[in-house]
Amino acid sequence: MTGPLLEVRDLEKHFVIGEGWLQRQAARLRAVDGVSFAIGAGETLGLVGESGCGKSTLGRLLLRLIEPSGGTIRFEGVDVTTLDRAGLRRQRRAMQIIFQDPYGALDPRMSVGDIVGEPLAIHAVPRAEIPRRVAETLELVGLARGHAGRYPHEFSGGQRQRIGIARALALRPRFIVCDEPVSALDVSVQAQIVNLLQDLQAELRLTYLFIAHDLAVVKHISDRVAVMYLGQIVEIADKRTIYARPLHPYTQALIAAVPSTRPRGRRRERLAGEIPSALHPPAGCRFHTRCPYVMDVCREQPPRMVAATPGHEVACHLVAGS
Amino acid sequence: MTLLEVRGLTTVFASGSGDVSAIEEVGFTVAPGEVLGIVGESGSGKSVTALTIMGLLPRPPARVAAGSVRFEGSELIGLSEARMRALRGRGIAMVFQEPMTSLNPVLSIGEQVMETVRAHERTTRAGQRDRAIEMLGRVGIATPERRLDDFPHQLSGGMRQRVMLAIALICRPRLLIADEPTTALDVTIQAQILDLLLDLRAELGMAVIIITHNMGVIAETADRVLVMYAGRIVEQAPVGALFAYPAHPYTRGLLECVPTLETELDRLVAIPGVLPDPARRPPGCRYAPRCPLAIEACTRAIPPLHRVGAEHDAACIRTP
Repeated sequence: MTGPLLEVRDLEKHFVIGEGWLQRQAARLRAVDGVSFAIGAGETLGLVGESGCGKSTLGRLLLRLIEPSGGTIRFEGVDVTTLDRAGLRRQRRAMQIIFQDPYGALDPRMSVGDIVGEPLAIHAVPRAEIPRRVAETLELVGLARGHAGRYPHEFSGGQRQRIGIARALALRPRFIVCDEPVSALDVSVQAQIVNLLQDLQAELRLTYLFIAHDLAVVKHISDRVAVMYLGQIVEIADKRTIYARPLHPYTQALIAAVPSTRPRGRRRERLAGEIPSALHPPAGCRFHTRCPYVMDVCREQPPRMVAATPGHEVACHLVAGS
Repeated sequence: MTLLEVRGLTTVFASGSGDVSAIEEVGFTVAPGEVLGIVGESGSGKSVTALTIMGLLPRPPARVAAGSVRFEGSELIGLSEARMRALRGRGIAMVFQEPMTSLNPVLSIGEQVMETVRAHERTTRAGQRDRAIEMLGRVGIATPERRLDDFPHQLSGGMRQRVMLAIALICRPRLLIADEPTTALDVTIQAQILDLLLDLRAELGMAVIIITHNMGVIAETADRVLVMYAGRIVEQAPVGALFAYPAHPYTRGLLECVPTLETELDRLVAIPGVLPDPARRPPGCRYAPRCPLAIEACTRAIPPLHRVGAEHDAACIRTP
């Protein structure tokens, strides 16, 4: 195998908060704080974590919808972080994103044909060719050619998400960031969209970063899974390993918190407390304020990411010490 | 004994093109101390059912077209707003999905809890304060005496939901209706809130109606379950029977279409089609257009609920 499709090293995004003439010192919100991982061609990497952990920011950074504060993003060997505007625009043909909210992500005044055709027009596809390409893409996502003349409000939530997927696919990208693509949908419709994303992946050889808070959906769709907490990846492994033998206490707690679909499966160990503010992350291991196994070293030293077994990396002193 | 008895409840909304029913012929009972789960997707009528019981729907456009809601033997439909207000809080209380929009942003949380005490009981301000501190502590807010002056925006989503629970429970209602109480919360916080809800139910001896779209939440909390689809109850059963022997094809679809941590599938079993628009519901069984078992007879009449097992009913003519 040649190198990975996407390789991220030490990626950082620090938002500066309250920088004004009254504030002597601006606060830094470390939304993404030193994240490294790679995704192979045709693979799906699931990214899970709770609100505010930085997973959506990370997804946007990869496409430079937000500018990183540090680190590198290599896509097919090209360093995306140093591209100029024109270079970035070319790169976006290969890298696209699907958003969570099928209502907010589509301009209600644009027809479906214009929404799906817009990226084609921006990337100078000949005008005469656009309707045909739009029709093909709509059929690819399970909509009809005839839908091109209609408007978003005429569609259900699930169909709108299909429109969002069609827009992302219009340029035939190789990599798609799926940012909570099914969380806003009714459960009976979620499965349709999950199946569609899997079919498209097989048909078009797509690579996904699948961001979600639903651990069961992530388990279903992913090849490997990364768990984020307060701006950092704390564990990453292939999905069977991470769900069967989670090593980080946060991963263990996340999995234990998912309601079982077997009645009376309740009452397991619960994680106490809430995610601390990313403005003032705890020193040492960021999880130590909620960790049931906290040791002295956890309060002082940030744990390094180590490979517990090949391909299973975890940042926890419990594992590092073994 | 029955705490709440709902019979033949039908709520309609007036629209430009005539009345549209949000729920039809909904009937169920809740026993004291019981947890009843109501599960359904958008447009199923689960929230309208709760709001009709609480008398909280705006009239017009909403109107109870038929049916009865009896709480501890007294009829609530047609009760004056003053009588209904007296019942809310002490008899039946409700918490909603989004605690930020249910809390008043310009009042401290202490003031909002005390306001509820004031509305229902005659106590001194110091007495109200003590009660607020005690209840906030009980719902898991650390050092409540120091949090009384906090405003909602200073709290996390989980903390706001705890405050909502404190407000709902401070007058010790006999029935709590919780409408998607954990949907807006992260999974570790959801687990905390569900545990808290069950602890408080045991402690205060109240009954709970928990409304959710999440079968996992149902499995973890409910004693008995109603499944609603497009405004009607399609199945009701004790929680064990519902998961072990789901009788309605929609219930089976709901259970199968969601991936779980316990199972591994190459492909999800999706329910085809979309949820029906309330103004354009299909004739006969409303699930028929999406149902793998549908036959012509399904489209002729709305199937009534019939007994399929012990305390287990389903509205499907294809289920014997």
